[in-house]
Amino acid sequence: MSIELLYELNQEVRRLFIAGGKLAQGDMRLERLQPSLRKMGESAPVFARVAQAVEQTTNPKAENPSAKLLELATLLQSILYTQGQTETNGVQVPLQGASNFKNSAISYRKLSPVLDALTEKGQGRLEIIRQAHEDGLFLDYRLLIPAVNSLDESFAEISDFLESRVIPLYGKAALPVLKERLRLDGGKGDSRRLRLIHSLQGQSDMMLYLEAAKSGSQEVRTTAIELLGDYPIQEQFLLEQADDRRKEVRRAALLALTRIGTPKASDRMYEALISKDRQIAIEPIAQSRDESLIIRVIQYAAIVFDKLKQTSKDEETIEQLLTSLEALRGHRTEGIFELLRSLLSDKAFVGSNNSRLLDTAAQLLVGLHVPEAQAFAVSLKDMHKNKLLDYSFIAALQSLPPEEAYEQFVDYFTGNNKAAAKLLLGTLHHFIPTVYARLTDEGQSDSLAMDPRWLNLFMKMDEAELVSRLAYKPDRQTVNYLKSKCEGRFGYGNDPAIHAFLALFRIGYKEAPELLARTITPEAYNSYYYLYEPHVLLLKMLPGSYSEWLERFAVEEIRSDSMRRQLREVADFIRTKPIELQEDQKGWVQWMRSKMF
Amino acid sequence: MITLTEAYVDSVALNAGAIKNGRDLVKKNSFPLLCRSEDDTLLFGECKGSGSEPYRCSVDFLKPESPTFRCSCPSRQFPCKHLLGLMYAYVLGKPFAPAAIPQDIVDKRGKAEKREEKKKDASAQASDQPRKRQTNKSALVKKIAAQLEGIELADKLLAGLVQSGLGAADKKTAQTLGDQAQQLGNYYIPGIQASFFALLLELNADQERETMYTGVIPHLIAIYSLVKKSRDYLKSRMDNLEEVPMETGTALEERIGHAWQLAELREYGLTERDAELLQLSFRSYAEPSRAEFVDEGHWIQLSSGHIHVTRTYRPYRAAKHIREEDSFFQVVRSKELFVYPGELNTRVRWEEASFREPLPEDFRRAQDQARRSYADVVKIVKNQIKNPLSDKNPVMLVAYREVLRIDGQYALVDEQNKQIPLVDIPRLGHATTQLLSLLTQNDLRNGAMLVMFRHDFETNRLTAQPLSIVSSQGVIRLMY
Repeated sequence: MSIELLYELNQEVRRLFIAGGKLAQGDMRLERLQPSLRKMGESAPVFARVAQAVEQTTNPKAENPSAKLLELATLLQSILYTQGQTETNGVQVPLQGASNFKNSAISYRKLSPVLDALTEKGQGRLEIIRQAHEDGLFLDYRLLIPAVNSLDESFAEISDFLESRVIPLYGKAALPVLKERLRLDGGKGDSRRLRLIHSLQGQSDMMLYLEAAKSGSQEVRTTAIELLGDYPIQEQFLLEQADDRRKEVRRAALLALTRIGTPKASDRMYEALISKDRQIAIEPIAQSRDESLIIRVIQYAAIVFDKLKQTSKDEETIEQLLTSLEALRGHRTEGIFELLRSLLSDKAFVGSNNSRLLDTAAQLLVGLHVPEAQAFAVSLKDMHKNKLLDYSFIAALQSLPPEEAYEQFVDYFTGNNKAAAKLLLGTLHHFIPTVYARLTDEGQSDSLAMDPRWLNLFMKMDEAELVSRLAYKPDRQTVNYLKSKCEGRFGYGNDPAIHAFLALFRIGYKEAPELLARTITPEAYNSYYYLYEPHVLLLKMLPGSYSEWLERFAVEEIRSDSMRRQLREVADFIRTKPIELQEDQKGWVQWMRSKMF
Repeated sequence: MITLTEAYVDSVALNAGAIKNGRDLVKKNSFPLLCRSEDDTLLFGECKGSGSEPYRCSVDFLKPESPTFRCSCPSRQFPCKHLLGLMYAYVLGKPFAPAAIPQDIVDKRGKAEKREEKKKDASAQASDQPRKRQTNKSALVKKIAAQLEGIELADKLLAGLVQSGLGAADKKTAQTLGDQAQQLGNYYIPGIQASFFALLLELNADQERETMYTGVIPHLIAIYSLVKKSRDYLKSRMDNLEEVPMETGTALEERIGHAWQLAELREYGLTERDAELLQLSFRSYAEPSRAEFVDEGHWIQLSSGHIHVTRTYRPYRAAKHIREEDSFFQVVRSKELFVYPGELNTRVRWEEASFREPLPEDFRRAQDQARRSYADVVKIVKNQIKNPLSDKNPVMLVAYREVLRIDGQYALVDEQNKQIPLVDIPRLGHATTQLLSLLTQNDLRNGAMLVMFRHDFETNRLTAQPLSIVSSQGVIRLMY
């Protein structure tokens, strides 16, 4: 075939370009092709021209051999360009096409940043993808395949967002793309694709999930097994998986069995709990809705406890008790309280110095939220050398009238037992939300009701942080105390002074804005580059009338660009704050929260 | 009457960043003052900036087809974000108070009017006596002589590289060659110089030797042909300036480095009257050998079916201040369309144009212009690409009966059952064939597809990458 000859010649030309045109003269391999070329030239004139060009290139007497080589290469390339084949042999299948996409006319300038964000690496991609989602760009069919591919993205926030918000937008239209790109032996991205297929197809693709659960990579297998937990019909299969060689697979199977909730499933979980697999049985049992299983766990715990009392305190037995207690977390089945009372009344148990065991039992007790459990917890306060005092205190705050809780526990703060006071202060730090959280979190309503006398006590003890949290009205004493704290170090975030200021705003102290404005000095801001949220929130509480002043302060006094930008953003924010909201604490906070995201 | 649309404001912004900044100003209530004149010819307002004085910006609709933008800010970006913000505020329905036109704008309008009159007078005079552009002959001869000198140098550089062989080329060779290629800048042959830079990029690219050879050899051949053709052409022109006009049958002048001026194109009759163009595809890419971004649009001229191309070059260094082009969805009507010398896809430009929404009739016309016989298409394409200096990736609109899958590959098929295989072009870095299976059955039958061709030496196949589909309802863009 002539084309093969041309390709062979092309290879020789390439070789000479690499070796150097100076070697072309008298090149044997090139000359070897000459006769065939000439022969073909008899029927096709173009080959005659090639033969001539070869001859000129190899002619030892030729001037400028490089030019001759280039001449030959040019001719050869031109010919090869005319030889391109367009026909493909094979079975022809007309392309079927898919659902009706909206072919929205999204322009290059809008689409290309999103495509880049989906296909490249680097910072700021999540923001672009979120914005594109908000602007409705993801209806464009050109983004579907990149979005499905990006489920493999290792930056989980992007792949989470794509899985939960973006790809579901395409509905069933995404299905062929998801299926085509699903690799059962793949990684996390394929787990996501499988979950998306399941959410679109439900049980109609059962064979696919079973296949994935049997032969997929560990990642895909566990996902598939998790999905099968929706289908009680797969009980037998899941029971088999619960015996798998790999721990991760067993864990997934147990979690799936929990959701199936059949007696056999419960039996399997119990088996796991009393075996070496107890660690992976904790969560499935904690999630189980099968009361009889829980009763068995309680009985098992009681037996283990007896064993612990009688025999040596070996690690194995302690672990057994600990895991069965942990598996009971969240349950309120009758019998749990009895179990815990017997544990916590036992001197040997409490004295065993195993703080994990003790804490778990005490946490379970307080978490039961039933009156008798709480009363029992309170009664433990002076037992066992005050070891459980903090749990007693929490139970008291949750169950007793505020004044009674105060009276029962105030002495621990003022008494000689310094360790007890420290323990209880720590507990309060943990339990009372910070003033920042109170101003921003939804959860502020269900915080604990506290006796007002606590506030006085903490002012006396100079516990500034707790005072900031508990302050509730602008009386003189509170205001004076907080004002004295406002003079402290005025830092970029979590300093006592910031909290004291936030507290003054929260309790509605009228002169707080003026006081804050007086405290703001260039020195305080020029030592930082960035402010944390509590500090920003504080500045945002200034009334709109301070906007100009803050803007000017930022422009004229602040050296760092990032700090200036942040302060100017705050100035913009308070300028646009609706006036009617500036007085009203609650509405204001809600409005502000709506502006945050 | 002020008729502003959001799409219009988007389109005058230089880039996506400018759009965002403009919109943000509206979001952040940065316009304490928003006014419109009582006769609805002017929008103006004040925008807070970082200084103590606000910026005064205005958009003047005295000539509604080309509004005048004015802003007191020092930004080099034009229109600046304040102007964009002002227009976004208007299209987003912010209240504009009626007010008298500020004095400084009245003054400026007066001055502009005078300028217009002067221009009109000048052009009236010019049209009275149409005069040919005068070229300074001795200067031109001097220039061509310099070009020929440069071409000799280019020839020498090329011969040196071929003579010693690519196998011997190392970092030092590349550096010496780079320095020498810099010198080509002194001879009015920037196009030839750019070809050398493209060769150097391949030579320097961090890749396997064999891949490098494959990348470099076509450049050697292209430069060789370019040098040879340019030399013949320039010599014949220098010998006889009167008889030999500038080359307009091919893009040779542009390949040497000539930047065609509109007046020249007009002189050579390379214009078309009342052309209507519909954009079928758009893309933007970086061209490292020229250190420029290229915004490239492919358009169909509705009356002739010709596939034209528009290219806007944005040098890296000035990219921020030049408008980044965008996909364009309206029909462009130009009284005078400038057509650059070239082959299948001639480059076009227009100075003034009006726009209208495309009608179903336009899409049908475009569809009707698609080429039906693949035998002819392949012939035309091969005829172009076999020429060493021609564009190796011509773009054509071809009709198809069906889209096929053959052994995992896509192909178009025409009425005579001839095929064109559809394969992505690696160099474009933008896969589109994968989108075909997402199209509806309707779109995959009896349609017209804009494709870019490529000859693949490795497989000896002529393939094409899909860019767009023209359906009776509109253009489905597979790229942008």
